[in-house]
Amino acid sequence: MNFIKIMWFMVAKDLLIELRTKEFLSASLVLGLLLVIVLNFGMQMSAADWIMSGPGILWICFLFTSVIAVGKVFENDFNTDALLGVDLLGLNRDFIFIAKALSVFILISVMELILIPVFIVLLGFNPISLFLLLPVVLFNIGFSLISTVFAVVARQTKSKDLMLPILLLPINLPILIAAVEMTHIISGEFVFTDLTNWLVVLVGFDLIYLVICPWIFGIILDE
Amino acid sequence: MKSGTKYFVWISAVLILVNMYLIFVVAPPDMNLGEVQRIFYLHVPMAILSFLLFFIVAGLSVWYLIKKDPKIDNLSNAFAEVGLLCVVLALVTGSIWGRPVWGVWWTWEPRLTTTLILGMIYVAYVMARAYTENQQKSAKVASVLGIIGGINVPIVYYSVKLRSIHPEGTVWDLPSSMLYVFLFSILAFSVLIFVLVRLRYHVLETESYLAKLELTSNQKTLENL
Repeated sequence: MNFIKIMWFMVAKDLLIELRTKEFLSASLVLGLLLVIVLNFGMQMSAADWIMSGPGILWICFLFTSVIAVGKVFENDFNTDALLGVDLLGLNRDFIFIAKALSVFILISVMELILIPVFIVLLGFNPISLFLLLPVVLFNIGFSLISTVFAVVARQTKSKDLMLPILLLPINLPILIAAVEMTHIISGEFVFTDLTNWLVVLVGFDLIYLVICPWIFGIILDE
Repeated sequence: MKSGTKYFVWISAVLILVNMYLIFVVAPPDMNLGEVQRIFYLHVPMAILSFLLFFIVAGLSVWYLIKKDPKIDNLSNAFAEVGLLCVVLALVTGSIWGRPVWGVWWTWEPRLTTTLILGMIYVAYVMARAYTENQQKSAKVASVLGIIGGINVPIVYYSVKLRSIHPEGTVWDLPSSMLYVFLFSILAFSVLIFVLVRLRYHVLETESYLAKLELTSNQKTLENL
């Protein structure tokens, strides 16, 4: 059995579990709704404010629900020591890393697809455009890479559920800022060059961590 | 305290006293900001040192992951703890400076924001260490954070700066009478930070040695049983 096939089985296993239980996707829909309701009452926003702050609120919801996705993807693996089992197969750790990152990537992408219509209805803010794929895909790649490493790092600590957001939120701030700004630009009149600076941040972040994260994951998985 | 450390403590004390004299007596008050500008001589060196220390932590973290030497981990830990102190001082003095200058305690200016985020990464680093029981695990967790945090800081600065339209001056714009005092401040605080790191490193090394002794004595007791 080749490595790519094992990798695919790992991703398929995570997706199959979610398909059968639908725990994460249903919870993320409810959480997204609740965040919008809480922000509405907490900030006393008018319709114009919603349009102005829409991109920010959209990405805050994506970020918080994505943090939950990471916990969910790794929950079964940690409870059953599955990662150790796969590691003992002699599979290159880079493949294990890519498989887990891919699971996180697919789950958060599906979650975002579910949440966007909710925002269009509740916020009167329509970010749908082909260009929106740019921040969404690039943010998801960066977040999946970093969060896969930090899920294993947080597991080494006594209170992993508490540590995961403390580790993930400050590190993901550059891509959050870039994604919010790009969504802001995309939701108005724009030319493609307006996006260049933010694309540099997102692509740079993704490329750097694409190189660094597999190396760190291999080392931290020793435990 | 080792004799070498004592020597550095005295050098540091003299430098800090001379620095205070230069800041409060020799440096002229700023034309626009007046006396409040003197906090700049503490604020800016602390901010610069906090960034520098975090890059040192990142370098030491890579070194630890390659060599797996607990001494390197203790050194990295000492740098991170002193770095956290520098960030806190930079943020507090920045706020005190910002109040009369901008009329607010806090503004989302790129350098302040980046320093705050750096502070949050330092806090995560110290918390991750505190929440990990085994020293080897703790060293690995901290090293990962040290490396990722070190790489992330320039990206945070770049992205926060892109959002901002604030004009930024550099220290080289200062008149020479202020620039010399500023450069001396950097030297004095660097030596102080070096002494603090050295002291903290000795404490951590002693703790590691005691933990090893305790482990050996427990093993011997078990063997005797």
